[in-house]
Amino acid sequence: MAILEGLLSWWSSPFLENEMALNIFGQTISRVKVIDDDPTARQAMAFTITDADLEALPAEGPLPKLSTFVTSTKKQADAVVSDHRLKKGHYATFNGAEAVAELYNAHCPAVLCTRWSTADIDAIRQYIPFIPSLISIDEINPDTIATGFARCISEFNSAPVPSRRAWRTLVRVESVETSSKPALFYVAIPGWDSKEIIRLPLDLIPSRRRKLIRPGFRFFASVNKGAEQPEALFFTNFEFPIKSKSK
Amino acid sequence: MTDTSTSLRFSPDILRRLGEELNPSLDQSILELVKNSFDASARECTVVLRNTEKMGGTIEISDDGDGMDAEGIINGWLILGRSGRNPEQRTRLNRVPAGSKGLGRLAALRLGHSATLRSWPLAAPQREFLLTIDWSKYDAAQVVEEVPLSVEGSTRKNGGSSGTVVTIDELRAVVTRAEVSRLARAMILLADPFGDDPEGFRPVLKASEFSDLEKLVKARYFEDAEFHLSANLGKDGTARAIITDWKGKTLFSAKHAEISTGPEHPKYASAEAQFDLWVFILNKATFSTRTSSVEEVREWLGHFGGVHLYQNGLRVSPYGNPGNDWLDMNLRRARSPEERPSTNTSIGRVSTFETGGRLAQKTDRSGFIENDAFLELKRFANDALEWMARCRMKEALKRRASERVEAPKRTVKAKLEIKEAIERVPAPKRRAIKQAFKKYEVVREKEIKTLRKEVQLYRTLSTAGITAATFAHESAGNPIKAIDQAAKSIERRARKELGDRYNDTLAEPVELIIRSTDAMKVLGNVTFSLLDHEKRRASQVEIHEIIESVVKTYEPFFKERDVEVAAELAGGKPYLRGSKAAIESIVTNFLNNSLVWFEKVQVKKYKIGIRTEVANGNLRIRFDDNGPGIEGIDPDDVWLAGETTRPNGTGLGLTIVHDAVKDLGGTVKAQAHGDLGGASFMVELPILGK
Repeated sequence: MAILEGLLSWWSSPFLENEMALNIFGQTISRVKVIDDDPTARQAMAFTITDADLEALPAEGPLPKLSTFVTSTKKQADAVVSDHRLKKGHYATFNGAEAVAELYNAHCPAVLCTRWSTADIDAIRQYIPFIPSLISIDEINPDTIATGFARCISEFNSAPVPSRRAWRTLVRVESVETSSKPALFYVAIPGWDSKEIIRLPLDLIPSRRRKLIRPGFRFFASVNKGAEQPEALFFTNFEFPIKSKSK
Repeated sequence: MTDTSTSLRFSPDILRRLGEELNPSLDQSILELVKNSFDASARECTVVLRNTEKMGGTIEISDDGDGMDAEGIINGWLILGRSGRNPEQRTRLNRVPAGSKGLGRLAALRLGHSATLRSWPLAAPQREFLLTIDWSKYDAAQVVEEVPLSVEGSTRKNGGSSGTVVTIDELRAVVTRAEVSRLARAMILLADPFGDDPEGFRPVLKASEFSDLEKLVKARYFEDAEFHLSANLGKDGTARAIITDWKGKTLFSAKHAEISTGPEHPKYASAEAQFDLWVFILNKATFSTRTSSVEEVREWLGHFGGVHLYQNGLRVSPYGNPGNDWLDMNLRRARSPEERPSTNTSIGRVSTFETGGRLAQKTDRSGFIENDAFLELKRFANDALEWMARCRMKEALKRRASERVEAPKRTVKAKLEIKEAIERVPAPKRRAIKQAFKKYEVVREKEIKTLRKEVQLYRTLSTAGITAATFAHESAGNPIKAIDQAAKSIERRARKELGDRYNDTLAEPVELIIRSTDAMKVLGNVTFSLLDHEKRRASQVEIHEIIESVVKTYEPFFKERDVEVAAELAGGKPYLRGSKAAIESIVTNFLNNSLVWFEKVQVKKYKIGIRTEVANGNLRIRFDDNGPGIEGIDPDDVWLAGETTRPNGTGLGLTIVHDAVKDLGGTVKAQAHGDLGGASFMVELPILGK
């Protein structure tokens, strides 16, 4: 991170008040769209963005459908800061994780704020491969926002930070809980931390493979083993053992 | 030229590896020989243990099956490791053979220093074929093939019927009582003793343990079950089910879509199966109308309860063994106890019928290979159990509604009857009885009022909990977040604008806002944390870890209120099996209790002491404070719901502590004034280890 942060180059001239911007790896960010279903929270986030010498554009609801929203956002703003929960008062038909993932695919830097509750993480988990910057609301400040954008841009440039680099990793299923909503399974990743048990929603696994998930079952997946928190782990490219024919 | 042709040869050690090491338990090894009898179309198979309580004893397994001739012994019985199972083939009695790779048989035969096989084939029962295996010869040999074996044929003088007797002599170890009990249970359950087929296979163990269990199994208390679930999985993968009551009346029935509730109601990709489960309500009231007693049924279920699995008529171990709750019935019951059976209150079987080989047993006979077909069979049984639970919950809801209407009517009627009865009593005694009854009515009325109050309190608190959670989420998500960010923005901007003057002007009030916001965040986090689903899962819980975590969560409150918490925790990491939520409830409620009572006294420094010590397999946790102590209420009554001396107190905090401790199998005591002068509580919890 230190290297990455060192690469960040800030410029905001006190003499040119309109030239508020942030330059990251040659990409200029000056206008930041703020997405939150609560107007007060939206405004507060706008203060923080302004403090980062960036122009905040609070997005009034109701937001259009996701694809339209992404297209219009790309035209209006250089980056986005979004809360995860957006459905209050018909503000949006999608949640923040879906929005940030779509923006990521459109190469628009976006930071997702969440309270890191288990329910939120369950809902976000499948989008984490496309969310380089998942920040707790307690940690939001001008620096973390700027670093968050930088992480996105470095991934767009195919240079993810070490904590986001995926490696082929053995995953062992510890237990399965199908009666909960959502259905969950718990895994151990010996190559990450042999003691920590990670809770994952079962819908992370392709539907036709879900029945394979049972205690003791092992499979390979691409996992960002450099992640510091279990909540930041993502799982892609699942490889399941070839089924042996029963005699 | 030297002849270099050769073949693979095996060291005698391989016999031990394939036999004892793959089939380590005596009961499963003997059971393999009993299954051989089943495959030989025997109706009876008898296992006799002679002098097995000491070394050198004998085990004899005899049957009235088809027997074997020399060819059958040499090319069948003596070949190890070949799967003898051809699912398409049927035995003479039309049984699907259990099949055996011979490894369990090998383990059984090697239990002694020698084994003898005598067999009389069905085609020529007067002919006897004898084979003796002396294991000491193998021990002396370099390779297995060095030891010659021969099958000797002779003619019986007195004739007789077909069958086979295997004798294992000079046992290498004693057979323990526990092993005899396990063998007895395994043999009794092997051929579905709950079925009604008098022509079926009947294994018998000549041992007192067996006859006791056999008596029990024959008791068949099925008609005393409160409910019978009968679920069927058809060839096409669809399920249907009915639930009948103890009189046989159908209470509920379901088609596939009601059982397989997932999106699109997926079919079950498994073998045909029938799942029967008999559920008992083990209380005296239910059994007052039954022919058997609740104790008898409890003992019966204690031995045979749980869901057993049968494949083509033979039991597959270990499903339904003690400790093997393969359908997680006890876990489901622990999560939602109402109207769910446990392995102690129900008995059942899943019988599968298939010859396609989809359900394959593991080589070491430790159950089925957990392939898709098995998991789908399990899903079918689980879904049927869930459907039954849903039906019974609906029924319970109706019952409760009707109870609410009926109960007062019944009370009025009963009172009337008593009053009429009193009127019939001779006048001199009537007055005394009337007075006694009146007194009883007053006490009962008081009890009812207390219970109503308790229910009302629980409802109110539940609502308060739900509301608190909603508010916690809303406030943490929005107002607190906004205040926090706005305050930090003021700080940044003011520092920039005012420079050094910021510290003299705005720093203090801004820091106060930020600190207060942090305290509010904690409040929200505590609420969320208590509601965390994970914490209600039964698991191994380290008690000290929870105490420390709760104390840490409360730190901002303690700081605000000038409370000093001294935790002196014993060495080690004492743990028990329970839920984190239960331990958290105990600690949280004690801390809350101290915090609210501190408001009633003025002391220089508020203190809470938490001390733990391990003694006699228990963890003692002592909570002390220097508050006002327990006044105006007997310390034994502080646990009663609704009992509080604090205005606007719920009187439920300590009741919850009491219930949580009881649930964990512990005890809790209150003392009016403890070491710190205020209230003192001593919790004692049984632990699994430290």
